[in-house]
Amino acid sequence: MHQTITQEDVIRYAYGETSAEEQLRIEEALASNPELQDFFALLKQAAVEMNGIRMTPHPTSVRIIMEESQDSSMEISNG
Amino acid sequence: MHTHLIPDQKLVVSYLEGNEAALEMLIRRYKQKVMTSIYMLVHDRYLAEDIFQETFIKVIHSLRQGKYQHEGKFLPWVIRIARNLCIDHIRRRKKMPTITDSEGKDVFGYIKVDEPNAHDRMESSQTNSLLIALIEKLPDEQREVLILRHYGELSFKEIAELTGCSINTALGRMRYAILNLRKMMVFSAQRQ
Repeated sequence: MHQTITQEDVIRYAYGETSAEEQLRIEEALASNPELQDFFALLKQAAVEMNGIRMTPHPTSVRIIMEESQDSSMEISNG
Repeated sequence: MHTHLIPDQKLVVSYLEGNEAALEMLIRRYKQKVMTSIYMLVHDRYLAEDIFQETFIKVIHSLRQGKYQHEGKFLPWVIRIARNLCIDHIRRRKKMPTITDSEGKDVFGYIKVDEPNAHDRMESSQTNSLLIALIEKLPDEQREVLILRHYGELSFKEIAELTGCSINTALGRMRYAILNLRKMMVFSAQRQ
């Protein structure tokens, strides 16, 4: 008997967390189940939109981090 | 120079050998994912900036102390540190009394509203702004899983371990997050 494929299975599939065997079963289910297809499309759309959100730290933040790195490096070399 | 071809682990080793530029490359590689994750967790641009700095300063000290064991997971490791710092800040903020003006408004609220976004380098369209607002409205547990999985690249198993729930619960939260986002988007579109 085939195990029912759930939306949670589709999430694992979308994020590449399924075994080769599971992947095959999920792809078969996706090919024949419109509800799962809709959910998969929704997941992909959400992923694309989330990828569009990119926040960049201010250059000052990166500078502060690099200065801290240099300071801690000097502390180590000075013993 | 094809910096993307240098694996994280090589950059970590190179940094520990004294090459400061290697750290800068790692920061450049992941700064957007780390910053976006932090902002989505704390909903405050200025606090996010502070936590971003704290995160990488902690990364530096942990690397130098040999606390990082590379398993091809530099970003998830950094995101774990960032997430824990976010939780510390949120807890501290909850304990802090709100300073109000004569009309009972939070005085720090003015800063967020009135200060120009000169430092705000968010490359966002209107759609992105709406999505950010909707993600902020998700219940904490759902938002956390969504951010840790999508931006932090933690597996559901790692998220379950980090947040103290089962893998099924983490997956369920992700599912509800996606479904709730759709509901809110439809609602928002109907209102316009």
